[in-house]
Formats: sequence, C-alpha cells, structure tokens
Amino acid sequence: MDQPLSQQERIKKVVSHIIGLPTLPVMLANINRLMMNPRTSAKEVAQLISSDPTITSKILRVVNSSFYGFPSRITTITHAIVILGFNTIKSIILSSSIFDAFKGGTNEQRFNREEFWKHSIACGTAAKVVAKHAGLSALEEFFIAGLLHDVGKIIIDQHFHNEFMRILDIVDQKDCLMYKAEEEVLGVTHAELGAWLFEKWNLSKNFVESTSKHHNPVLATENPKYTAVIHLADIVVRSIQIGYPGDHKIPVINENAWKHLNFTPDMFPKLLSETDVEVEKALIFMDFAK
Amino acid sequence: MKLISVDDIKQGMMTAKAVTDPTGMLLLKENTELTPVWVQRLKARKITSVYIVDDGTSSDQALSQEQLNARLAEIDKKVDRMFSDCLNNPVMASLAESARNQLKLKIKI
Repeated sequence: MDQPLSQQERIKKVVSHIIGLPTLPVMLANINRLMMNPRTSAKEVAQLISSDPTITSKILRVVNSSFYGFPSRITTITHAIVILGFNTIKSIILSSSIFDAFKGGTNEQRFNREEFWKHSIACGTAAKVVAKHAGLSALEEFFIAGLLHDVGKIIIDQHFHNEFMRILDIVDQKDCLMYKAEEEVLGVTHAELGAWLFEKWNLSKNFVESTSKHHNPVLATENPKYTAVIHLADIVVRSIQIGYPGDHKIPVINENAWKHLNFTPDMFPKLLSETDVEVEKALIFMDFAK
Repeated sequence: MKLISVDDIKQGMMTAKAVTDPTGMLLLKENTELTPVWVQRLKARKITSVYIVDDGTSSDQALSQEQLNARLAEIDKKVDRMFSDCLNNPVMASLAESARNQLKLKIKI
C-alpha cells in the first residue's frame, strides 16, 4: 500500500500544476532591498514609491482616510513615511499588491469576490482588535496578516477552477467549512496554498505560519500567539457575518489558541462591537480590489 | 448614521436608532441626546455600541414590527446554522450569544 504523502509532498504535487502564479510585485521587492540597508533614508524610499503614480495615489488615499484618522492632510509620500513609518507604508503596498495580483472575479454566484474581500478586510480589522486586547504591538502587521489569511481560496479558484466548483458543491451539500471540502477534493487547503505562495514571496515567517495554521493553530511552532490572533479574528468576523468566506459554518475556537491569548468569554461583546465599528473605516481598502 | 463605541460618545450626540438591551427591552428611543448619565446607564447594561446621527444624515425610516420580527428571526436562523455543531462548547455558546446580540443591535428599530 502507498504511504500517505507528507504535507510538503501534497502541496508540491498540487502546485506543480500551477502555471503563471503572480510574482512578488517589483515595487515590493525593490522596497525590501532598499530597506535592508540601514542607511536608506525616507527620501530614497519616497523617490522609489513616487516613481509609480498608481501606488502613490493609492497610498495617499489610504493614509488620508478615517482608517488612520490624521487631522491634517498628508500630501506627499515623504510626509506619509515620516508620520506612519516605513513598515506601515510597506504594509499598504503589500496589501495593494495582493489585491492587484488576485483581482478580477468569477461569475460564480456562490463565491462573490467582493464579499470575499470584505471578509478578508474585516478579518484584518478583527486581528488588530484581538491583538490589541492580547497586549500585542505592531497592530498594523496583524491587519495585513488577517487580510491575507484566505488568499489561497483565490489561488484555488483561479488555478483549479473545476475543483473549486466541486469544493463549493460539497460545501453546499454537507454544509461544512471550506477547508474540509478542499482536503477532500484537492488534498491540500487554501491555508497551505496561501502560505506556500507567501513563502515563495519571502514574506515574514509570522505571515506564512499564521496563514498556514489559521484553522489548526495548535500546530504553530514559530509564533503560536500570532497564529492564535488570526485564528480568533477569522472566527470573530464569521460570527458577526461581515462579508462571506465561502461557507456558512464557524470553526471552533482552539483551546490552546484561547489559552495563548488569555481571553475570557465576557470579552466577546467588546471584541465584536469594536470590530464592527472599526471595519467601516477599513473598508477604504475595498478600493484596492476594484 | 454611524455606529460608534459607547466609549466614543461625546456631548450633544443623538441616537439614530433606538437602543435596546439584548432581551429587546427599549432603553433609549431614536433622536435622544446621549447625555453622560445615559452613557453611564448604557455601560451598566453592557451596551457597547450605538448608532448616532451623523452630520447631515437623519435617522433611517423605521421598520414595521413585522419587518423587524422577520429580521430578528433571520438572524437567529443564521446564527443557529453557523453554530449548530459547536453549541456544547461553552466558549462557542458564549460567542453565539454575543454575536446574536451584536447582529440584532445593527438592525433598525
């Protein structure tokens, strides 16, 4: 009898069929390169970004939105970098690049892209809220990790469309979570495929692990608390039904993840209402998906 | 109309929708000024967010009792479906209740 394939072998088998996967956007690669040099100045980064008018206008639109809520208008990239820092600007470029790489839609009524992105943005928002209550810092990074956690679903839709249709059929028939149907049809999940792409793109280990393990946070070894945040954020957003993740069920909160966060159930009303309030501001990111 | 956290209420803000507690009991009618006393009472009742009248927008048309009941039933149905496999887990049962309350808060009364 054949030995069951290891996780890596399963992923490798599936991704070997992918042709023309989006590459890491050139702008992001160039910025990463500049930022590796400790002597790089804000002016140099600003010059590079300003050479791309589309990204420049996107950044200025986001930094001037109520999401960041600055009282006065930010009109130049240099000003934006000074006020928000390199990392936030990099996060905005990363999210804009992800939307660009995976934009476009499908005629499939059962998986509306706009509702999918709304779920992703809401998950980013919830991740910030959860991380804040867990006493963590660098909240901006959690927003991006939440935003990215389900990108694997789009990879499946774009590169394995027939299988994707079968996955949606199973979700309808069994009323199960999408990843269960993916395991049945493809042998790998959107979580594993998303993480595989982020690893190829050299994104941070926290992004890779939290994407890969958001349905199975007990397997996170690199930074279990970080993955616990994304795991809970996904569940919070599903509970208050912002956007549509592709199924109608809610994953059970993993006991270990819950312990890592040190939360109690009486915190739920606050987590849910703060997410609801903040998400309205974060929907500015929907602009990127158009 | 805008949903804001009770912590962010400022003097002079008006409710854009009635505020009810999780059992459906009316606490504040729409177009009521949110005075500090009311804010205290809302907090005491564990209300975490309210709809306020935003600049230039009036409160929305109120729903009929029938429409309201239909919306509330729809929320219950969705939450029941979503949590059907995990209500024996106390943390999930607690989340289901909080979600129900938050979703009901958002519909127009």
